Amino acid sequence: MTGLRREIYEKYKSQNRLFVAMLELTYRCVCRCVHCYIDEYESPELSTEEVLNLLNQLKDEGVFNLSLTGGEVFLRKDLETIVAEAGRLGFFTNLLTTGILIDPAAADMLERHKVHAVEMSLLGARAETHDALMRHPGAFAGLMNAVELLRERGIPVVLKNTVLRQNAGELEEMAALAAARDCLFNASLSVLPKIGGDQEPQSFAVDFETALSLNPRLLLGGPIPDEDTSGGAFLTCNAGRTNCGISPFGDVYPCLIWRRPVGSLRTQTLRDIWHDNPDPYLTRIRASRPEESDECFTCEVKKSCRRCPGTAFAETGDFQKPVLSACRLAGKREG
Amino acid sequence: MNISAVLEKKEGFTVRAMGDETLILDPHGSAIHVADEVGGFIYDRIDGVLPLSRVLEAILEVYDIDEETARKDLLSFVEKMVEQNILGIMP
Repeated sequence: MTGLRREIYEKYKSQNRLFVAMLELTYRCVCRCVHCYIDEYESPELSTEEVLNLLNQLKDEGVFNLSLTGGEVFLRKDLETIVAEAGRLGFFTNLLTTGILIDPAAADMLERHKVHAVEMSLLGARAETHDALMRHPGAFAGLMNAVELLRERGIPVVLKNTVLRQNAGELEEMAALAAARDCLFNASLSVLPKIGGDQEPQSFAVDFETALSLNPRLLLGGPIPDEDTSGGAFLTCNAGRTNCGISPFGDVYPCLIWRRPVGSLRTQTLRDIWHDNPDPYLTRIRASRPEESDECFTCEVKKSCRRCPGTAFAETGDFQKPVLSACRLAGKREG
Repeated sequence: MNISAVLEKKEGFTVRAMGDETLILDPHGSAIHVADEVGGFIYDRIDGVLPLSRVLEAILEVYDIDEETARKDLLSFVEKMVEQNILGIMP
């Protein structure tokens, strides 16, 4: 980050101004991924008008980076209207999708509206692995077709992997597959419980021995940094400060991992939720200090730890508690 | 730069207000330009139609500043913006 960018970002942080927003447009999907965190749901999605209004509020708030995610965003019939408005308002828009519904017309649409990048799930280097984990026959072929259509148009593509027991052995091959198609690649070990708390998705996560055998350079965040993070880099984060997540129903969260609602866009404006009348929980997050996560702050392996406060909340209900998987990985790395 | 020139905003820039300042990010997100309050006021009014003389009138209506200083500041600001390819001069 250049000096000026850092200075501006610090100003955003000091004012709790949103810089990054992740907006879930729908929970409807064409796949039923084994590790998906989305539960059954009943609420109606935000209407086109509500989404467009929200985008304008995000622009007024100062947001630069917008991620549109799902479910499968291409199941929204108004996707082009939304993407066009996001482009008009000058967001750096990333779209997260399975890729299955991207045909030449859809790829043209994304190019026309200057989508910044498209991020797609890659759950295996082979069709049988990917399709089985996505629970959608033909998903791999659809994804590869989408990659080709997007790259032909010069749209940057990120292939994102969640490392699971069934695909961990294909990690290097997936990275090579992405590189061969001029796509970025990253993988994450994080598997969250379902929104309602069901921990079934986590049964697909790799064990720690497997996790430790993986090439750390391919994992999200890259290798564990050598420098000490005792300043609390992983004990607090920007969620609830410069970052937020928004559900298809207008619930606002500190981030999409940290799903503690702090307001509803159905009854409040974004400004009201984020600045004028913040939920006490949001205020508490913003006031939190690394030393308050006492177990972690005094931990002797914290410098190797990739702890995420949102994951701590998802797993324990308390964002200041240790994350068991992170503890064990950090401990192992330190020997 | 002539005060009768008509300027346009170049496409693809992301613009956000931050207090009194206006942040202008280039299309690749790699460079940020910061305009002060008056700069943001000027940038807002560049529309590919109005000549700079009308922008100058608007400045004089809103800000307590003498015409000569305002003209100099306006021309200096837009020249920099043109140099940085944020604004373009209409033919």
